[in-house]
Amino acid sequence: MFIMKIEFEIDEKETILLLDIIKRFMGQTGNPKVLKALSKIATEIESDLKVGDEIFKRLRYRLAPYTNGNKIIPESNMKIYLGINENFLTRPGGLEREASYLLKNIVNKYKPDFDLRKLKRVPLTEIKKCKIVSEVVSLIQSQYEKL
Amino acid sequence: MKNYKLITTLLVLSLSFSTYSQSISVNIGESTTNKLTKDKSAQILATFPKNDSIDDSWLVNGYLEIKLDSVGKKNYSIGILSEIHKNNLISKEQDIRQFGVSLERDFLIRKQITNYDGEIEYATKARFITNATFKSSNNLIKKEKAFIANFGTSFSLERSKKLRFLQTNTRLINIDKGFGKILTITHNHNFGFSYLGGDDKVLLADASFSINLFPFSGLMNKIEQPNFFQVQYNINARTEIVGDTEKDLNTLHTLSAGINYKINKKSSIGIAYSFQDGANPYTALEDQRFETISAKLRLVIE
Repeated sequence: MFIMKIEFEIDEKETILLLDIIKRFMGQTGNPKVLKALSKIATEIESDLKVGDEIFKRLRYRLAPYTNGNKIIPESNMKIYLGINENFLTRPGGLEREASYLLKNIVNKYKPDFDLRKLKRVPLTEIKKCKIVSEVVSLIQSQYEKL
Repeated sequence: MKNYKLITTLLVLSLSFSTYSQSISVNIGESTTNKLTKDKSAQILATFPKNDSIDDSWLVNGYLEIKLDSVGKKNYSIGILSEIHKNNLISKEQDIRQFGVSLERDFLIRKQITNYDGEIEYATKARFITNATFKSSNNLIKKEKAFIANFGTSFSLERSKKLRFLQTNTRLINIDKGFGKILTITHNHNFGFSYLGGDDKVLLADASFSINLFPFSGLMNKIEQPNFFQVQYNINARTEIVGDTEKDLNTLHTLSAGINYKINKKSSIGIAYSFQDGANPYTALEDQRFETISAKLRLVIE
C-alpha cells in the first residue's frame, strides 16, 4: 500500500479556508472514493486545528503571569509586546520548561498509553528561536505529532 | 605554575562533560569579567600607518568564547575563552592577553502553582544567574603574569506584576504604549568576588550596575530595530577584602551613546561614542579618563 505524508505550513485563517473548500467539494462530489479521501483529510485538519487551539489556550494560561498584564494573542511578540523577561525566554528553566511541561500534560491527557518516561523535553535551542507565541505553539504541536 | 594546572584540570573537566551537551555556541563580546560585560559588544578600532616612524594604533576590548550549553542535569554552561584588552591610544597604555575557562549556572527560585488541569506544579519565579571565570593573564606592558578568578551573580525576577521595576534585561515601559514609543529603559547588575593573583594575591568584592536607554524604540520597532539608538551608563566598583594591592581600584564609570544594528536575536554591530573614567584591575586598565569613538560587535552563533 502506497502511503504519502504531506506536510506544509499555513496559518489558522488559511487552514479554516482550506477546510471550508474541502467540505464544499465533499458536498458536490458523487464519487464515494473521493468523498472518503476528502473526509479523511478534513478530519486530519480538524484534529490539528483542535490540538493547536488546545496548546495555545494552555500556553496562554502558563505565560499570563509573566507578561505584566499584557494580553496574549497568537501573533504577540513575547519580548517586545508582552514584555516577558529575556532570561525567561532564552535560559534553562523558563519558557523551555513551561513548554516541556505543557507537552507532558497534553500527552498525558490525549495519548494516555504513551510512556511519559520516553518523552523528550522541548529543546532550548528551538525555544530560543521563537519570537511570537504561535511559533511556540507550532513547536510544541510538532513535537506532539511526532510521538 | 599551579594556576596553569588548575586551568588545565578545569579544561579537561569541561571537555569530559561535553558528551552530555545539547548545544554549542560561539560568543564575541567585551569582557568575561561578569555577566554584564559578557553581554556587551566588543570594541574595535585600529589604524596601520604606512610610515615606519608612526606606530600602529590599537583599541581592542573583546573576548572569544566557545561554550557548551545545557550540560548535565543541572544545565551548566562550560566554555573556553580567550580575551584581549589593548589600547595604545590613551595616556596609560593597556595590553593584556587572557586565556581560561568559564562556568555558568542558573539557580532557580520556584513557586507552587496550579496548572491548566488543576494539578500542582512548580513554576520559575526568579533566578540567580551565576558566572565564574578562571583565567591566566599576561600583562605585556608590566611584564606580569597572573591568575585571575571572577565569580558573580545577578538576580533576575521573572514572575511578578507589582515589582516589574526589579526585572533585569526587560523593558520597564511597554514599547507600544504612550511614553514607551519615545523611550524604553532596561537595567542589569552583578555582584561578586574576584581573586587577583600575580604579585598581589588579593581577594576583592565587586559590584556593577548598568542602565540602558533606548530612544525612539517604538518608532524603530517598525523596522524591527527597537534597540537602534542606545545610551548606556555603567558603574563598576570593587574593594579589597583580603590582602592589599597597589593596582588602581578606582570605580569605573562608562557613559556611551551610539547606534546598534541587530543582525539577529543576540548579535549586533554598531558604532558608539564612550566616555570612561576610572580603572579596571581585571583588564589592566589604570586609573584615567578618556573618550573614544569605536566600532562595536556582539556575535553569538548557536
